[in-house]
Amino acid sequence: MAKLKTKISDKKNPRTNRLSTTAQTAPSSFVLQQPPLQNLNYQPIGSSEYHCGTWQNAVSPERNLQANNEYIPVQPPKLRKSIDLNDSTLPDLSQATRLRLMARDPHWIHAYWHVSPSAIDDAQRVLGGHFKQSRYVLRMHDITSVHFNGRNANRSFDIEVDLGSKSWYVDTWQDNASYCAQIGLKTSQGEFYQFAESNPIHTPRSSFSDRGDLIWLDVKPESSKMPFILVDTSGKRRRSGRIRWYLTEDDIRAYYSKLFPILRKILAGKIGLRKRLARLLGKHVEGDDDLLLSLHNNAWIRKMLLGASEELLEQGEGTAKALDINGSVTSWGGSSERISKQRKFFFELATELIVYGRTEPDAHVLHGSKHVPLRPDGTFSMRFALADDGFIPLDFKAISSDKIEIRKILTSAKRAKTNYQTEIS
Amino acid sequence: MLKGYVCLLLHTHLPFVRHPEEENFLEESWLYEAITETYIPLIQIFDQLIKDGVDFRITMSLTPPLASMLQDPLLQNRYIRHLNKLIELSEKEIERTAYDKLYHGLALMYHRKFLEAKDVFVNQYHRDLVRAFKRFQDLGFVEIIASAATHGFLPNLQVNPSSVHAQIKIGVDHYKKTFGCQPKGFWLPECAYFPGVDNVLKEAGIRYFIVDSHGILHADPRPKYSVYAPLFCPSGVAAFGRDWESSKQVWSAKEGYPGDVDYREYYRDIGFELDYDYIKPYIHQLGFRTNTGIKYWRITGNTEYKEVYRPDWAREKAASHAGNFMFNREKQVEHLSAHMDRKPLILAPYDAELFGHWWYEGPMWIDFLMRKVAFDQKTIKFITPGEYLTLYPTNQMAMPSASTWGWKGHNEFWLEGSNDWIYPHLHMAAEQMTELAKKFSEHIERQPKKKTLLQRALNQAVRELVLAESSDWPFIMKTNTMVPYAHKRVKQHLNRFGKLREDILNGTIDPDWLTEVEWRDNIFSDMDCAVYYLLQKKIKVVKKKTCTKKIQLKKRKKKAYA
Repeated sequence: MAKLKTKISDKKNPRTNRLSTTAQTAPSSFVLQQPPLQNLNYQPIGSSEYHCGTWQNAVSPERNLQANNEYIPVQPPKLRKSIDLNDSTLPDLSQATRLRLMARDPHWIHAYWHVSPSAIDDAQRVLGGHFKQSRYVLRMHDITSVHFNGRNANRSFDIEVDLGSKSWYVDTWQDNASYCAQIGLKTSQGEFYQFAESNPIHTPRSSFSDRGDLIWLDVKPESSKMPFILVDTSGKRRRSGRIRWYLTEDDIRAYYSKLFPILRKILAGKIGLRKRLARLLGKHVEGDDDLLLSLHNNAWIRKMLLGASEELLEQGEGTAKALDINGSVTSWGGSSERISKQRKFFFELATELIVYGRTEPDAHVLHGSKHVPLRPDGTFSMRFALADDGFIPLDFKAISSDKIEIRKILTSAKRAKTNYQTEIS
Repeated sequence: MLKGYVCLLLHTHLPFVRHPEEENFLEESWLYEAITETYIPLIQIFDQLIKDGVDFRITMSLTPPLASMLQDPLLQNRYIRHLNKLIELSEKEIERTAYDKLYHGLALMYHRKFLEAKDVFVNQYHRDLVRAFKRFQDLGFVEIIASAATHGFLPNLQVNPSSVHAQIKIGVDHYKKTFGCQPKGFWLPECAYFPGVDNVLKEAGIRYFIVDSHGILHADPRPKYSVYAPLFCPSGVAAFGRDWESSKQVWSAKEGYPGDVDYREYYRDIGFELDYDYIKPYIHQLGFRTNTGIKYWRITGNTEYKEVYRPDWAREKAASHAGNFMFNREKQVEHLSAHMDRKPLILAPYDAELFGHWWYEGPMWIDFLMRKVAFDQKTIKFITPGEYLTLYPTNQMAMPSASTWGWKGHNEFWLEGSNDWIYPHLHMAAEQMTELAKKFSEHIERQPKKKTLLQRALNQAVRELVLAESSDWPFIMKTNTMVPYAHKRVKQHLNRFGKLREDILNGTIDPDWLTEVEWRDNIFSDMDCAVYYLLQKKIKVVKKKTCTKKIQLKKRKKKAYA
């Protein structure tokens, strides 16, 4: 660590002027050697009393704030006793018997459970001798499009679990599906003793829908109408050639409950014009190009339409490819991960020049043409960044309070041009 | 000729990090930094655009935790204290760099910016920045949308429909109280949509919300216009989809604008770079180094060596990038409009804190963009989603797909090994709150001016619950930054909820303890929060979808009795 100190004092009259400079290399992690204190009543930089460095403001931050009356310390509520709110013990959930599911993504479900000791005792009592041969299982049911009654799942599968693990991530292989689960004991005979049943959940879709029906909705703040489809009337009744067929709430419910796979069947059944409407709608729905798919073969246009998602969607997992972008999108702190750096080896060097001195407390000190604020004891200090190949003129002048005497101290500091060298073995 | 619209949406959110119990609390600096670097620069830009007669449109969310903190007198005072320290530091820096021509101008620039920030904060808006954004909305330039009470991650809370309901309704009512009008739009925290949440939004009077691109692309049936026109959910609430191309241009660390070599480097702050003794009064009280906000270097390149920041170069780049963004949107709109029977809408949502805090030149970029779009071309125009719905009230109906704007596009960021332990507790607490509300419904429904101890305790229990539900805590746990703080927050709120519940049930509410908790966690302090757990009957569709099994069991029981 290079260190340069310059100390200039007027030995003829030590009471009047004294000026010292200290130039220090200052990588942030280095410990600085304190400047000489014995003769100058010098306050170390960084102490709470240090207040040099502002031309305009020579009081400490704390005093400055108090003087401005801009910050009043917080007044806690008046209480009869002191309250400790640092308790962060979590409540005990072990006495509840429950199972809950949450969808993590199209193919993964998170299940967590608690089984109380009393529920296990009950199972032991019911199963008797079979209890010891039983295994704890998480039974997953695919209940897509069915009203689940415990026995009518599309398919079910068991996962053997450790009761103590309390949670499991289940790979379901199928997106856009509904699931329900049970936690229980499976005996060696294959019987199932249930502790708890979960909430039903639906996993997200991971690809385009296979339905392209065009249903429209007209929503205005003051009124909202029912959804409708546009039916081509071949220009017989309306100039536009299209009329609106309104759907009922039941139609929409049926459409999304998957009881009927396509909308036109519902409508055809509803108005009793099955053949004609099916033909009309068929013509309409299939004839009115779905923009997204009709341009499927035009890769460039498709990309324009889909934006950058198109590239991602082709990867299979939707936006999975976009980790570096999407991870940064989330929430206020996300960007901190965006270009986080991990430094390896590095070495930096910077230099600063500290100038300090003292005079009569009521004197007027100038650095060049700028006023230098003095502490009550007449000391002052200044700090300058000393750039590579930099030069700092130090022209100081002290004027006595009666304006009779002027003393000048003229010097300068220079830093030589830096030479950087790297050796790699 | 006008061929399409662009919507710039800034999601403005911070977790509730108010800590009156300590004079200096590290996490509160998140708010102070965001105010200095993002909110005030945005306000300055909006003010200047209005003065210059630029017809611009920006959509913003201003979440309840952030709005509450911005209006909190304690934090307002502390922000001034923080700003005074910055001004003082910048004055020292002006002197320190007096003979270093590379840095001196930057020190002067920061000093001027801090003084301007103080002027905006103290003199122009009298410490209340929410008032500034409200003014921009009242003038018709900004559309502010509502958000959930504490930014709860709704897909993971839907296990208890009452939690979803409370998060949304508290958020909307807080908006009405803050901005004096009904919100048109709603920002789903983390863009996290699941089918059914739109019904709750409809009940709350919301007309639209935002989803990520795949939320629209994977909708059922397929969207005719991709993400370039909104879809109406069957409930009648509109879903607008994010355009990836415009998002990527701004967000991507590699290809996006903010990574340009001439822009300011975020990770080099004098709080870490300068001599310890010198900087000590301006970093954390306990002596560990923190960001100060004064940064002298530019990104330079993919190297540890950083050159000095040149504001003039950065300004040129911001102007050039704004021009590039506008040009790309023009081309995008020209192609899209040829295939659509309406003018396409390109929606570009971003975290507001990206602009200014992370990307220092971001506000400047917005300023250039708004001016260029207003004066340099006629193909595109900025619009808000609310205005677009007025122009086009007829849209395709489809059910958007469950999605988020997080990692992999779904819930994994908020549901994985580091943070899944919170959900059993959150769900249990929500169930317990619902039971409490049911048990004490008579007390909750009565709303005298002076609350009884029981009513205060019930309201505070809900405040503790919603504070624990914030999506920020699992997010921090996953990102592995400030994890102990996130753990502490979740645990303490749950612990306080647990004690309140116990005391309420046992009839042993401690007035001193309650007063202290109310003083600490004062979000929504002027709202009767427990009321929101009474209204669950109205969530018809959610209940139908999520509780099918229960309904069937009830029906079977009825049949059996018959």
